[in-house]
Amino acid sequence: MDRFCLICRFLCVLFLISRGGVAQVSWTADSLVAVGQFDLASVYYEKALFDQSQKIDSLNTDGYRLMANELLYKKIRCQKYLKRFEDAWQTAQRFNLNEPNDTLHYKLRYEAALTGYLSQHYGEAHGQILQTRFYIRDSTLFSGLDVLEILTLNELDRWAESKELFKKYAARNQLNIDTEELYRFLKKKPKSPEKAQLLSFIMPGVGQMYAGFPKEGLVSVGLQTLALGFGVYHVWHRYYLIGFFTGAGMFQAFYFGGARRAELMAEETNQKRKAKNNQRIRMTLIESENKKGK
Amino acid sequence: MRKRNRFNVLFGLCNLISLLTWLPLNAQQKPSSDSLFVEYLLEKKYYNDVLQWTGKHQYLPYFRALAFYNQQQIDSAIHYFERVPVQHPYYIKSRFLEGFGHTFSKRYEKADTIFTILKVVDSLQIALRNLQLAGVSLLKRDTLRFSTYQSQFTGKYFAFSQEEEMLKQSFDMIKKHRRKSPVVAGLMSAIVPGTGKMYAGKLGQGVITFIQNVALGFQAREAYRKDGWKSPRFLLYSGLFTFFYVGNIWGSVLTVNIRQQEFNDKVDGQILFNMQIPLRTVFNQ
Repeated sequence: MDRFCLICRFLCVLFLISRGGVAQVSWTADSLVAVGQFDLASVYYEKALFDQSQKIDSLNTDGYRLMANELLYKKIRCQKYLKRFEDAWQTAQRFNLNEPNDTLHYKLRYEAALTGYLSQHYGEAHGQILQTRFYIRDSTLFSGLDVLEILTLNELDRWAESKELFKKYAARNQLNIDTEELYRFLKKKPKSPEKAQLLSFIMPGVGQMYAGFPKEGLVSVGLQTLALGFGVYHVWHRYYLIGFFTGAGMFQAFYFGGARRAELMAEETNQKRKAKNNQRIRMTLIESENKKGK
Repeated sequence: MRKRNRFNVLFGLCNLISLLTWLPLNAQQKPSSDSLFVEYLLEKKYYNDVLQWTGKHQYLPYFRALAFYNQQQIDSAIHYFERVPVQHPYYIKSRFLEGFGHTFSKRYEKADTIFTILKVVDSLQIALRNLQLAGVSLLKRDTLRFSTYQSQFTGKYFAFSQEEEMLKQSFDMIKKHRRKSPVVAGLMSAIVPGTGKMYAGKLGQGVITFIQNVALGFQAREAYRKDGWKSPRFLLYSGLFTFFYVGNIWGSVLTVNIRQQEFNDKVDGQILFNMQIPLRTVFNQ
């Protein structure tokens, strides 16, 4: 019995020594994180992953997967601290998602979706969210996913879906928020760049006014009137060449330039509105999550 | 009790032996394990990580140089390539990349010296050095020297036989290229506005300039005919005409120089490309 015990303890020590490299590097990385050296810590986590991959034969598949995922998770945390979101997204792609434990599986998929959102891969992030909902059976874990999905849908301009999800989120969290009021902007049609351009062709300056820039519209009208007036005045006084080249030349430049500018202004207005609405919803969500946290 | 003591002593001894054998082994393995790790990082293109990992002690200069080189931080790459020792397995590769780095940074004399004094014995590397020297000569527009190196092109190495041909084509392009005169362009534009730009190869710009000058000239003439030369209208239009006329002459001179620069940049880009590809193929870089 003693002999058996001795053999067991001896093997245990050997095992710890063989694993020591990976663990030691990982501990070093953890201590670097603790002192805020995320850049170097991220490399140490990669080193631990590398060391582990060199000893793949000595580990069982589950142990290897669990440890690799844990190291990748920590590496992503460092990259997020450094605001290297694209790198974090690339690291998240390396997760082994064959995870039977729902809690762990959810943690990995959520991280992948979050890094996708932060690195502006909105389509892929939303795909990851849908996969999370599909593959993970324990739906009680999904509470944090709603926020991320709402934000992702907003970025994808899928406002109607975002609204529906927000309603559910508000009901689940018993929020005293008027969703209709928050999404009131959906009733407003976005400005059409083509329409703005057409309006400016028909009546100079109107396109800019339609796009939401009335002052610029008035300036455009003024400049075109001046150019046209200059041309007409000179033709009237028989300065045909000056009237034609200078007057008509300036008029056509302001006329076509103004119409093109109106088109760009409509696009700009739409972008601004989208950013403003998105920010409003984002702030509401942050406030609600903060309250939950308290 | 005695049995228990014996067990503890034996167990402690086993642990000690294990540690004593593991520690030196681990110490021996560290440098090679580090190089393997850095090679792994380079393979994955984690260049920032390579710099982080090797930065603490500034060791592994070859790998640091490669990381800088791949991030196109050529001066830093050169600094570390220079520190690769002669006995290093990648010494020759380092020297070639250092030489190319200098070429890329337009320090042709330095690159020339590095390639010239580089001692290589392998026939493939000798041919590669010859190609690099030919490229540098062509970048310096030293056609005579290029011809000397070109005569040594064998065309038998698959890795860069095509690039040898491409360098010959670049040489022909340089030979055939007729440099246009800025003086001629300026004179042409002075006689007929816009023609200097057409001569420089910018047909569209020339036509537009011509129309612009003619329109302003006619307007000035109309103002002169109707109001006389003292009228503000004439002064305005003649002033505008003069401004555009002189500007067009100056613009034509500049256009010739810009076109020449464009040609040089294009040819230099091709030469550099044909120097770099063989390095990649031969050194798997």
